[in-house]
Order: sequence, then C-alpha cells, then structure tokens
Amino acid sequence: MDRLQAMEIVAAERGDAAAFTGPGVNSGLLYAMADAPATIYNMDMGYATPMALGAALARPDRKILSIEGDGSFFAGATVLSTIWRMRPENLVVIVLDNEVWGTGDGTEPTATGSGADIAGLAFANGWDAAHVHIPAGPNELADRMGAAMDVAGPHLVVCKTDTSRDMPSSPDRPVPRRHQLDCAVLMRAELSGDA
Amino acid sequence: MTGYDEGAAGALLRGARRADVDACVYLPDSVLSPAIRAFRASGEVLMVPCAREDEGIAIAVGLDLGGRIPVCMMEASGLGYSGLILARAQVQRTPVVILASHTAGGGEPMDYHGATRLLSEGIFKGLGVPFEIATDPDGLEDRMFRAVQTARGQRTCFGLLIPPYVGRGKS
Repeated sequence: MDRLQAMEIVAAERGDAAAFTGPGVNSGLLYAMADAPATIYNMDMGYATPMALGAALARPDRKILSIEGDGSFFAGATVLSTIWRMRPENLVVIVLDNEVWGTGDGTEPTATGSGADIAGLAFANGWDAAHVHIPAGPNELADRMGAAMDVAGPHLVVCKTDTSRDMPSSPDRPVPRRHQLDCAVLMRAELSGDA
Repeated sequence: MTGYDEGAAGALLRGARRADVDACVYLPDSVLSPAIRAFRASGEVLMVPCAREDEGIAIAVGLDLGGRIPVCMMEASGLGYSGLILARAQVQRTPVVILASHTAGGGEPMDYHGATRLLSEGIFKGLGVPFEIATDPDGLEDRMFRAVQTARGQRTCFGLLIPPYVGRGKS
C-alpha cells in the first residue's frame, strides 16, 4: 500500500471528524481529498496529535482525527502516555509509517526505518490491543479505520506504506490553500461556535 | 470552590475562575504544586497532566480550539522546549496563558535553576509573547484574572512568571 492509497482510505472515512494533520504531504493530500472547515493543516512537527487530544477532551461529542507521518509522530510520541491516561473515546490517531523523512529527497530513514516500532511504543505506554491497530493492506486499513471511527477509543492506527508514490519536497507537491490563522478561526467556529 | 483556597494557590485559582478558566494542563513543579492541587481540589477545572511541557501547550491549544479556556502550569525550564508550539499558537492567534515558575530576578537560591532563569523571560521576549512577573503575592488574583482576560481579548499567549517566594509563600 502506498501513501496515496492510504490517504484515500483515510479521507473516505473522515466523515464530519475534525482533523489535525502533521507537516508535509499528508496535509496537502487531505486538503485535496477531503477538505473541511474543521481542519488544522501542517501542524508543526510533533504537535498534531497533542493538539487533537486537547480538542478531543474539549469536545467529547465530536470525533477528532489526527493524521501524522511517522517522523512527526515519533518526535512527539510522549503523547501516547497522555492519551492513554486521559482516554478520550472520540480520538483517532492515524500514523502513516513509510520509514523515511518526507522532507528533502525523501530518502533519509526515520526512527522506524531503523527498527523503532510505534505500535510497540503504544503498548509500552499501557495501550491494549483493542485500541492499537496495525492494518496490513488497503482492505484492512479501511476496516480498521471504519471501526475506529465507530467504536469508542482512543484508537491508534499505525499503517506501513511504501514510498512508491511518495512526493518529496517540490513545488509540485500538493499543499493546503488555507492560511494557518484561517484554519484556527474555522476550527474554533466549528467546534465551539466562537470565531 | 472548595478545598485548597489559601495563599498564592487560592489567589491563582480565584483569578482563573473569575476569568472562566475551566481546564489546566500541567507538569508538576515544586513552586506551582500548591496551585495545581488547588485547581484539582476545586472540582471545577479539567486537569490534564502531560508528559512534556511543549506537548502540554499543544494540548492547551487544542482545548482552546474546542471551546475550553485553558491555562498551563509548568516550571519555566519547560518553556525551553516550547518555542515552536508557542510560535505556532501566536501565528494562529490561539490564546494560552502559561504560569511558569522562576524568573531572572531575585529569590532564586538554587544553582540548578540557572538555565531555567535564563530562558523563562527569554522565550517570551524572543517570541513577543506578553508576560508579567508576579513579585508580590498581593494582587495575584487580579493578575491572574487579567492575564486570561488579556490573552483572550487580544488573542495572544500570555505568560505569568511566579518566583519561588510567591508560589510557595515563603521568603
């Protein structure tokens, strides 16, 4: 499964979830495939999931989605312990793990490229198997994503992707056409009615 | 409000509640521990212990976007981790009030707070985040209230630095 396939599945399962995306191409792809007002794009490295956790705690009645690459997620992986401590049932975290940094020429191995195991890290932080999902292919990703969006969480979906259709840094890479300030204004309006 | 309601801790809680603060993200800190206990004992504030201070500020930003009114409490050393997320909060105008212990001023006897003293005000100054130093326990409630009021009114983060002799109520 490549990144485009994975993001198509994630986008199809988004529904009305508020979404926080990490830096890089996942943000551009979500914008192209399933943009919605309640979206924070290109959150700085390591912070998409903590921010999603905060929103999930503030709005337990709303599904909250965090979409990260493995490099960004790993940089902020302490949040695994905080999520499990707080256990918001409405939070779903998707990590697309291609084992390389998405910047530059996209070939530098990340921690997972050297053996780090994000799902294993979740287990080490107390998560149980009912809340950690490791889909092996597109069909399984769709099944696990669908279940995660329907069943009380929190859920962590760690999805290995190959780099065959990755898009290294270039002007051709899709980017969200919405300023970060506008994203925050729209997100606040959607979640709290206060722009 | 019930429970911990004395000294600086009680003043900070009263000021925060006057400003409708309903969430607190924190990492334990000796100076602010009484305030953290007071907030928890009130039963009126969602308490979120975090694993790193920068993670905590990001959680607070999410709480704000979701309609809560959060404050963060931490030792100022954690501000050293937090430059990037504070900058992002400023860019997207997400107000978060940060209570942090230790300052570059007096009343800091411990050498191991040396690095913390260097960066507590430096981070705020470097990012243009408004901040105040609460050198006097008197008026702390109003200071807390105004910090939140200003952060929300101006859509900016706001720092309130608490020296040890204020937070712990000792000379």
